[in-house]
Amino acid sequence: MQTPVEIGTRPQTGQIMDAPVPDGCGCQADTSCACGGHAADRPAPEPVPEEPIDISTRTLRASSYLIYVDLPRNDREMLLVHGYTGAFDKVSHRIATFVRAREDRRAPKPLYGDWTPAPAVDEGTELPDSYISVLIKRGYLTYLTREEELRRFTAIADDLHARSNYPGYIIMPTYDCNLRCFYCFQDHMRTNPSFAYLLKRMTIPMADRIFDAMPQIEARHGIAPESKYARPITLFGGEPLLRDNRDLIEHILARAHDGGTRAISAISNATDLDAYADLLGPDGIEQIQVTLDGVPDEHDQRRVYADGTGSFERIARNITMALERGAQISARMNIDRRNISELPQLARIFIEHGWTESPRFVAYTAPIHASNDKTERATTFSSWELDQALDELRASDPVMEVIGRPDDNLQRRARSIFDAGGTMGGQPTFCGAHSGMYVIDRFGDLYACWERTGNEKVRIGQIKPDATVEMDAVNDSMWRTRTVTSNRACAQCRYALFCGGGCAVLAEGRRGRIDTNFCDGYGERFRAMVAEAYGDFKAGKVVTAGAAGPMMNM
Amino acid sequence: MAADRKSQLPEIESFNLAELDVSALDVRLELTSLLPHNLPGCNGNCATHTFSCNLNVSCGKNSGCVVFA
Repeated sequence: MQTPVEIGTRPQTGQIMDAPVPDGCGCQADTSCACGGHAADRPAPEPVPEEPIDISTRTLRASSYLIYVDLPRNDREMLLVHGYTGAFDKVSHRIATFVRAREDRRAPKPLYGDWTPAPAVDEGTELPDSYISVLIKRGYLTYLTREEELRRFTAIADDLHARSNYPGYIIMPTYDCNLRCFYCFQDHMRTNPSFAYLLKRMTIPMADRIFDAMPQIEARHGIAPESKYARPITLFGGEPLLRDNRDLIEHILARAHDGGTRAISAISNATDLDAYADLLGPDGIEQIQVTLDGVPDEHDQRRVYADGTGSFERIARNITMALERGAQISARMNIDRRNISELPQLARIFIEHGWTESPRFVAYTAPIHASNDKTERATTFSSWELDQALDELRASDPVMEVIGRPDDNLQRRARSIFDAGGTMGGQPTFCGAHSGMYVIDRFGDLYACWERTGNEKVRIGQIKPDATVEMDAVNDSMWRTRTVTSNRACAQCRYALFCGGGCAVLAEGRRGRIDTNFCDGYGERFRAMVAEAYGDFKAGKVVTAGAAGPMMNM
Repeated sequence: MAADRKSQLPEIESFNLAELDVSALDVRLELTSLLPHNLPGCNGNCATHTFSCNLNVSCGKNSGCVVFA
């Protein structure tokens, strides 16, 4: 066992150099809400009408949450999807036109071609009652006014959010890392001496304190200590699996097992994974997300050690070893306009290493976001742009099938509906930062989002020396109440319960507040993936394994 | 009945059952089941995104949820 290092001390609040994030959500409004802005944007609650609605006085209109999915090379049919009932239907052009004529706002422009002129409502009333009845039951047509339907949507989304609120833990053994990737959102922690206090390792007593505190956190979510709650636990950093962290990680794994968690996961650069070989597999560290940023030459310019040397070969050896040990590897490739062209060559390297033959290996891409001043925004893709660029690569080189697009999971979920029914959507938040995710660092500080860690001003709580949990009501509320109903743009969006409102950190970067929307081309992405899934379904294309999406958004 | 909401009409092909019966005109609906999965705690976006969820939500797997064993 290693000698525990001191539970780190850090500068007093006044001495801490502020991390490059604004206090709270950055909201400057002066309303009474925790951060000053939430209440202003939230649709005002209104009393629910108790009397039955008399439809004879109402106008039938297209639902505000109706999604039109046009199909390439098919002007006879269209898919309709409903944003809160979850309905998926194929309808004739006549039906689609009838519904669209009852829109009280402009329907999004089709992805493939353009709308034909819609008839005036009084010209389009010839649809049999049987059809109208089905369209109402599926949610596409409604007698509710726009505001009434907004209230219905708000009630549904808030109900879903209240029900789906179970805790998961992201444990950060250290903020330190042995690599110096230029685009890292934590770059300042290792390059600015003012943050050096963050870089020490968590102690074993602190790890014990964290596990001792978990029942209190679970009690906040209505989980009794005697219930058999298998805690989802993920290691994150910095680099959690540094060679010198071995004793600590072994202890964390043992405590996780004691609590009933069979296996844990890790986000790791995998450079020191060989030090953990005996802990990898179905009963240990089972799932590992590893980043490879291109072919060896390109990767070795991006993911470098502090002395500038590259890391590809070491990571590759460790991926092979981890797969042999029974671990699952999710290879993430952070893509911008400068390294995308190398992906087919990288795919061949995956095949040559034999990784793609393992059902435990998946590879996917994610766009690099300009999260520090070393990343040029002009070189980045949005998720939608990356989807399209990858489609072009796939069309020209079939080997690209082994590398997933950002939205392949969306496509798979839609495909599963065409194949077997079921539903998708019902997602009132973008990620666990707004429900039950607890990111816990070496100080015992609790954060909602791992991209907003290392600054106690934004922590949502802390674990005290006696292992009691003390929450920061303001920060906790700010993060946990960001849903698709906490800003009006999302609450009125057709795609809201599929998208969840987008990443709060990226929304803050764009608009200065986390309780705003970050769309990232979601409407186009959704329609393109649903249309593609339908095309594959009609063509009888076999659903392949692998190339799934991210284990985690980061 | 949910099955009643699936269309049998020639110009409408339904691929799934809409989870909510919205033919009733109440603004506030009783959720008849959780979306998208009728399991406690699952909204398709659990606290760890997909690490612990095997419900084909976004991880591509299709067996049972391991969070509530």
